[in-house]
Amino acid sequence: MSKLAIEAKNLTRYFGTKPVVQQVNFTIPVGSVVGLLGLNGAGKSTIIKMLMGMLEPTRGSCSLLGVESTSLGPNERSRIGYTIEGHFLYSGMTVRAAETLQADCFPKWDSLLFQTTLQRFGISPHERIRNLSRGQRAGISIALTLSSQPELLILDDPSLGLDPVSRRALNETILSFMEPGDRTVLLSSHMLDDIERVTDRVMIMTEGRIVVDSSLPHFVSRLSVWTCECSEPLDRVQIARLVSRRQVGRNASFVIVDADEMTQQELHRLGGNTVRQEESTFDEGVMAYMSRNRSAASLMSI
Amino acid sequence: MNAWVRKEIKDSIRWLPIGLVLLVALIWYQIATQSPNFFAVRSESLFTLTWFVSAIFATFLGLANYLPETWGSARGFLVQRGLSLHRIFVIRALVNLAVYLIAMLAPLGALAVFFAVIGPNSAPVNPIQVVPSVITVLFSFSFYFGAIAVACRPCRWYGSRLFPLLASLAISFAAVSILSLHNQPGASAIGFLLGILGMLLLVAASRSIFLRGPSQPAPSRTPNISIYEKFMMIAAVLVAILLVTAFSASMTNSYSVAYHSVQFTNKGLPWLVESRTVVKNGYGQQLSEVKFPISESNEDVDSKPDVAELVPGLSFSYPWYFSENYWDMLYVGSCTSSDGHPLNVMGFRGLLYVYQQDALQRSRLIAVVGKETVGDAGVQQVPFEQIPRLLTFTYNYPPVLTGLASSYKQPNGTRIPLGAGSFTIVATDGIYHVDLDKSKISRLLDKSVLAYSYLNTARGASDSSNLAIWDGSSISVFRCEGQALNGPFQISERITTLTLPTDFGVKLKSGDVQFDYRDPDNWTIAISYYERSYVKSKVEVARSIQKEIRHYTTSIPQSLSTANIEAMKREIFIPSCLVPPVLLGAIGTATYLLGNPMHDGFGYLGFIVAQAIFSGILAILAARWRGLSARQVASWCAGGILIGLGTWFLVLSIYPRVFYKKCPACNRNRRIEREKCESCGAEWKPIAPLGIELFEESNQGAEAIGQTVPGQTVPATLAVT
Repeated sequence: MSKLAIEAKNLTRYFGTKPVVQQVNFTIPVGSVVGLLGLNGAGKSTIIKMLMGMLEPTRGSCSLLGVESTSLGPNERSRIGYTIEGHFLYSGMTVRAAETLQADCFPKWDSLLFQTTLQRFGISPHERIRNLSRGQRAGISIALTLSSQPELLILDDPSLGLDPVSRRALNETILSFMEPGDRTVLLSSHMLDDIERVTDRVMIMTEGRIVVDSSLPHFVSRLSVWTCECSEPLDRVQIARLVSRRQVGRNASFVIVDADEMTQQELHRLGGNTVRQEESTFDEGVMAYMSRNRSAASLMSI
Repeated sequence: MNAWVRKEIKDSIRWLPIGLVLLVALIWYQIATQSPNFFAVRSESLFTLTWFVSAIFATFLGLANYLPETWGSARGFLVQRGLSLHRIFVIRALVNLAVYLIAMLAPLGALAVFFAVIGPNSAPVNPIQVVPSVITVLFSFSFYFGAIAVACRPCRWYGSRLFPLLASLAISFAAVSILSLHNQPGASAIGFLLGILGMLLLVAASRSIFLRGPSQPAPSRTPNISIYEKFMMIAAVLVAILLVTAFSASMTNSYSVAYHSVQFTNKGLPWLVESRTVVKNGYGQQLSEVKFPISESNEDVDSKPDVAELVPGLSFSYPWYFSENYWDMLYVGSCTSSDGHPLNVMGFRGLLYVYQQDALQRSRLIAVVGKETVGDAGVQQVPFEQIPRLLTFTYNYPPVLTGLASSYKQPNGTRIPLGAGSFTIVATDGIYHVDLDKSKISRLLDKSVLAYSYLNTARGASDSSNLAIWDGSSISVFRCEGQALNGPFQISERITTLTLPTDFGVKLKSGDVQFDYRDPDNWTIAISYYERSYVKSKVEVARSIQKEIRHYTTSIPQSLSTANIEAMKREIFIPSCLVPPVLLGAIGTATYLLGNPMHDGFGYLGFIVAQAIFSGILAILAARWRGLSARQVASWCAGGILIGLGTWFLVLSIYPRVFYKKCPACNRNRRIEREKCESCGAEWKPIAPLGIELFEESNQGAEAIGQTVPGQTVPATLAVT
């Protein structure tokens, strides 16, 4: 059995009496690149904060590199890279001073990698951080994180608010970082194409729980998309393992996980001869999971 | 780590001008308003000013350092590095201490240099006056750590968040000890030790709060409240109780007080006079005077006088009653030189410094008076045991205070020719005459002087004055010629010596002494003093009528005192509700054991018991509300009984809020963060699957919690909400 980089057991977090993360279990072996997806408020950042020891779990536990998250010390932290949502940096510093500060705290600092990453984002080391654009700040944040050569990299929505060029630079940087193959990455993002390009496994969160934990091909293979013409209001439709449904006029579409014989019969009852099965894509599957409740709610108003 | 030190220096050094400018501005204002003579520049006022500024600056530094890290992602960025939080805390504390000390000590150092340059020749100042301010700067750094606790404690701003600053206030108060160093070195040392101990506890408390993390929203599974944090909060709440109680007592709508004095009839019969005053909102208003004879047993000597004939006697002066301290020159008195210039006499460590003031109120040191010589500053002198006092009438106010000095202004700005006069001083070993013209000091009377008084010459036919001197065992009365100030003064003859029958000497030091004297055969001395406890005072009288000495002792009538205490007790009931029961009990027991209970026994005891029980119950409720264990609840109940109502607030401010949910097994409330129900022991049920879960078998997460896995058929529909 491969060594685990990340392990979460029954991880639960409440804010007051509101559950934000509920009984989440997952493991990420060393060398995996995992994408964490979900709507805003699904609990992604809360999970990451608990993993990083910034937030105490209400119940359950989690560990990084075999160490309980609440007990992470300087030695363990120097083996972990973490980019914070929003790319917080000490804005009064120059890029060079930020590097010096970071290099002082991480023993395996790679100055060459830092310079290379800066060049990729077109940043001068003499600039003051407060004068940089959001994309450039993201570049510095990534450069500071990656240059410490972490064994485990946790990225919390690193591409938030970036332009396409900066996003591409960001993805290239992450991909080049993963080249050695023994590095573990947990990437939380809303950018589906980034996740599809970079990761080999995806976890999707909704309502504080993980509903999908699968490799990308496996995820796509288990989903099926069905379309039909249907005059019946869809809110009365009962289909097993239905992930989401949409209806525009008489045209209805359904995303179903592990569709079986009974499911097809029910669909034929609804749409008769108009029922067709289509190939599902990664984007479509993720969108179906993420928009599940929203599509249901929207149906009510039709 | 060096880079982190540099980063902290850069972060903190930018605040240095704020503290520096604030302290310089206030010191400058203080000095400028006292210019040019600087008589009113005292170490106490510099101490207060520095205390204020250093407390504000230290608090600002702490908040500026730590408060921004409670917002957004700053805490995550701070924590996620190969440098422990402990090291970061230590580096920050040292860097900010350096910045703080530079900002606070640089102006004080400059002030000390200024004092050294102008003093003592041009003004009664000296560099060591800034020493108490330096001490308060050191102790006020406790506000930095208090501010860290304020920044990092996840509490409401309108709740207990600012409370750590009260603990800082208590610690910085230890610096006050330095001002009494001269008189009570033991007490000062204890004050310093307590302050240092408190500082260490506060450092440990703020460190533990910082390490725990500023943004742990409730519910918290392991509150991990350190013992230091508890100490800090207990100290803060006690200070809050003290402040609220003192403020409430001061704002008590009205209470009455009674002052007692002795007055005399024309025949020397002493009467006790009680002046009743009502204090409303801090302002006193005299209500009435009650007069009655000290002793009814003296009717064999005197008949009862007409009350209107009563006149006050004279009070003795105590040379050692100056509020002398180790740091400042002390204003002793004023007189005029032989050519009419105002002279101000200052005392410092047993020597008298005589300053002459010109028309522009600038001062110049003209003489330093020692026990044997009159010389210049810098000349080695033999100091007196205590700072001597000018022998003067009580109505002879210094001319500088009456505005007389302004009349000496000369036309065309011509300087007045400086002159020098003479004056008489009372030291502990006799009376001295100082002739500034001849730079000479001579002893007029070689006698131990514990207290002295000029006798009222208005009653006598002679223009000469009489001087009464108390040497510890007897009172000697001398006839004097000339003026004690500004003229030839001589003690011509001893009129009489009155040897007192009792140990008045001891009581004389602690009581108010009044002396009525007409002739050797007709005199009365009355001493009122407090016996055994501060609430019960006595009056003792020795009289000589026709060479027969009689001695009387009387207590101030209980009826008057009791009525007064009852009135006060009613008024201070509400503020005393906050006073810890243990303290009330200690006061009650002490006064009872001393034989002068300030309470009426069962009523007082009942109040303490009721308050203790009520506080204990509130503490239990608060502790249970915070979900504490039975043992902790019992401990806090005991705390409530001892500390009082503040315990309720203490428990709520120390421990975070806890949250409950209905247990699905037993339907009773259970703690959200506990794995098992406290009532039935049931574990939380796995959350119901949505029916659309998709897990690849190689990923092990789902099975562990019973979520849906491939192959399971869970009928599911979309949740339409």
